[in-house]
Amino acid sequence: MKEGEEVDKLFKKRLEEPGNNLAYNEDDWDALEQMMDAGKKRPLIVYWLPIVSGIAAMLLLVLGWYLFKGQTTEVKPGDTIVKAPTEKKINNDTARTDGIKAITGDSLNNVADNKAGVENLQLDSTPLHTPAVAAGRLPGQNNTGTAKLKPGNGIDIPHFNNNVAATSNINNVASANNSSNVNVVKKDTTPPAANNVAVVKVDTVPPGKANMVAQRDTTPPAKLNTEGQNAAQVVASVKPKVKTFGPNRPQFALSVIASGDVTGVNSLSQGKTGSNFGAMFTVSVNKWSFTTGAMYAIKPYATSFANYTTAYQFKTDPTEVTADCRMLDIPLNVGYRVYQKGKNKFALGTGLTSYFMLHENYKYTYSSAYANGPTSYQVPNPKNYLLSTVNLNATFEHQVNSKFSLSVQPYMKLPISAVGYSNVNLHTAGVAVGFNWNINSFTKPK
Amino acid sequence: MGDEELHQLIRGCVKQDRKCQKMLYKAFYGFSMGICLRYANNREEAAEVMNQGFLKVFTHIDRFDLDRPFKAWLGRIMMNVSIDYYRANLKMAYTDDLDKAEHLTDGQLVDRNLNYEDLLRMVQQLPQAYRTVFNLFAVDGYSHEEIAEMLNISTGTSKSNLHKARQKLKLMVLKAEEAANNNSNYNRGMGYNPIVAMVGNDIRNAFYNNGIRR
Repeated sequence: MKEGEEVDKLFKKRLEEPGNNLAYNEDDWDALEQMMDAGKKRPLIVYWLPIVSGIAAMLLLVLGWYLFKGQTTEVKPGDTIVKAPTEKKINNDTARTDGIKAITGDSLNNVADNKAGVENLQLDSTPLHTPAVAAGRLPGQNNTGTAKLKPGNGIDIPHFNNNVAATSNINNVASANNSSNVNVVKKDTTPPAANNVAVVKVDTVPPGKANMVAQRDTTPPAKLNTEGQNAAQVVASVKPKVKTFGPNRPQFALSVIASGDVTGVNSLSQGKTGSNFGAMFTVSVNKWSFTTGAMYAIKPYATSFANYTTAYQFKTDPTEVTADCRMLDIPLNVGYRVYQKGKNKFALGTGLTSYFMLHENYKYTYSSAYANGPTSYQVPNPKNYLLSTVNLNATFEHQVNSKFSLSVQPYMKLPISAVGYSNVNLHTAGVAVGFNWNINSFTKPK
Repeated sequence: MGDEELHQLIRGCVKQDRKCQKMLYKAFYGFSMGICLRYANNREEAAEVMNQGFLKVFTHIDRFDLDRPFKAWLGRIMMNVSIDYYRANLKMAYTDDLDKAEHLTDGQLVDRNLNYEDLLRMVQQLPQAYRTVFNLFAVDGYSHEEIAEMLNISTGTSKSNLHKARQKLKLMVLKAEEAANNNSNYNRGMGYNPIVAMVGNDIRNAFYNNGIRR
């Protein structure tokens, strides 16, 4: 027997008889099915993927906007409405009364004593209605006009806020003559030391529509414009998520992610845009994926002082607080792949995020230029907020090749607990774009 | 699986019927995996290579001639896919120190009590170029000329790689044997050598001869 043939014989004999060592594995078939499906060209989906992703992102944003927007109250003629007490303190009853009088009178020029703020109101030339009611019953019989406060002339007409509260009952909000036009004018919270009318709440309901009671804040012109801009608040947050190909074994993926989002306090109705970037690590097993990582989040946001919690006693309460927060967003997410065809995947995910505050700065805006108070506050020792936020996301992923994929991920972050020095409930919605590296797919020979 | 049943499956696969594809896959899973495992570094890669092979099978199954043996066709595809998968590594030069094995000659290797997993692991530990040539020559029965053509190497390289593969495998077999002996001694909890219980012939065959200490 030639040299080496014994070795050949030994190995040939045993290796040709694997016995039961090669039992069928369903996962391998799943992987093959994916390969077969990937081979089929689906150009339509590929071309439409960005559009579909964009639509999904917009839907999420819009849904988020409406879901978490401040509540509004509808008032129908003949309804009796009992309003809850306002969160804000009403410091100036006189001002409120004046305001009511002014609006219920023939002219709005007298709206309150706070001329600084009200003088800039423009009135419609249309007949004046006087259904305005703040604290009491709406008269509403012979009202024949509609008083409108226009924004842009120093009047801030933000959307309805949760302060829509008057401590009064409103009956017969509109008369027969008034048809459905109901204006509710409120006045509230004027900083004691200020010369200005702090807040005048005016609601205008378009004719023919359901009557609504809302509030409008009026502040001095100089401040009002600022507030108007602040109506769009910002925020940011991040989320990651990654997915890998191949179901037959755990797949590992690294992702680089950047995202833009909107953050608001209590709702997204006043949002500011922020940005996030970071890296994520994902383990995928079959249709499930588990993701964690770190995102550096830049979250600016603005909120009214009512939402701001602090032990510090301001001599004069600011009207608004603008925050600049930098934090690490550490998510723990789980995802489930609900669709996969060819190189495209769609997954839904949820999880929890921990915020590690790195930098926290607040700036205060006062209604009066002469207000005496701090202009900003830098939190000296920002805290961490573990598992304080719920993540919801949808991920579209397109496999570029066996190792790399691109993903688009609309997401939302909803608060479980308040975060930050000011204890605010941050809501975030945005879209993340990721570049994913599938580490162990298609391992090359050693 | 009878011929008729197999042909029905194949006809279903020609029509891209997913159920037929899966049945065919299951039926030849063990056979295909057995081939790929010999050429691969590990099971995961073998599964990946095997699936690539099946992908080719399902893509080109309309070209298969039903009068010919399917298993041979499938095996050839699995082998080719395996070679292609590692082709980049086949010409890599190795500087393994095989001095230790140089003095080894074939002994009574055939009767070693090594199972499928043991031998598969040894083959998988071989460098890619050695493993491929060894598989093609020793197990699949190709000549050096055929191997040289398939791998685009010279016959000299093929022979050299086969020789080195054999030497390495012999070393591994002997090492495994030693480890098995040590283990059995240890398990008995004493310095008792089981060979003592063997008859003289066995001792010569199993220890002195196979221990390569002559």
